[in-house]
Amino acid sequence: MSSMIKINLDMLLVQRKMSLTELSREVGITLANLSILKQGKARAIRFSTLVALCDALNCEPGDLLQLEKE
Amino acid sequence: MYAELFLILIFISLAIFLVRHFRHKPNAGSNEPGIDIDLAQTAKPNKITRLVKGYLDVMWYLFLALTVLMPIVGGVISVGYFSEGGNQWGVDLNAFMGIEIDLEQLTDMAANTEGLRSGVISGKTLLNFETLSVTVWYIFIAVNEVMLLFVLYGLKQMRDMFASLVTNMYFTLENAGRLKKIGIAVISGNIIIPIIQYFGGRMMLDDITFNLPGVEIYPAFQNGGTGVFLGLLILVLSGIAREAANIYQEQLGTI
Repeated sequence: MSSMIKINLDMLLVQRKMSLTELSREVGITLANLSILKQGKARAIRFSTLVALCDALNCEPGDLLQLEKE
Repeated sequence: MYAELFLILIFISLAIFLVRHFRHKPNAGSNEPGIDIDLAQTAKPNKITRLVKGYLDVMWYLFLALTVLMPIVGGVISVGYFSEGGNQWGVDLNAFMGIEIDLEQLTDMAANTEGLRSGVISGKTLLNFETLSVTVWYIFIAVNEVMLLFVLYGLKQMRDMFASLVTNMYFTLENAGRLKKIGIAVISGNIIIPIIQYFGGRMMLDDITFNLPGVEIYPAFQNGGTGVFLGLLILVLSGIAREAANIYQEQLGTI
């Protein structure tokens, strides 16, 4: 049984009433890369990106990342 | 008659196979959605890459033409020349053979043999001879067609690889796969081609008879050891290229 990391970006954006474009502008990450992250197609995430996202969304890394068992 | 029809059928199938299978595939791109956009590497391809790509293109069309034309030209020659029944026509061809000359048995030479411990000179090389036998001619075509297929396969893989290198796609799994295929082709080519050459040469010699005491021509194995070693090196390189492609993909997928 393999597990995978799920990104809860969708949920957090809805909760913060924020669009992906706004987040992209605030964090300084391209819309394309944020989209890859949101779709769960990213292979890894840098600590700096994680910090920037958490700052912008005012959340903990644990709120953003979730271990999902398949 | 049936034999000729059978050969024509084989040739048509071969031509269709060549056209369908060896179709040029430049860039397959990454199989991971979302990552394609950033996949092209930033460095510009150098002039040597473009030059090699151009050279491979020329070689590809040359060898493709040779592969397709050889049976046609061979057929025309065999029908036109050999069916005339006369011995005035011959076809110049070459084959990898061994040759041994025993100088002591050559009566005229025996007196002049000096500086040799043994009066035997031997070697393995490509020998040219003009044949009058249609069978020998057909064997020659068949042996060369097999060799050309190996060359075409290798050229196809190299062309695809260089087509992607020219568009700045270096570290891709496709290129690693192509390198692996080239390695396998080099190894199998260097094993299979000498065997085919040997048996082809044997069949050719069966049709040629001459009686000259002291001179012996025999079918020979071409040493493919270096080629096999080169193929193994390419296989190792393909493994390194695969690893590099994986690392590159991982780096691309890091946000």
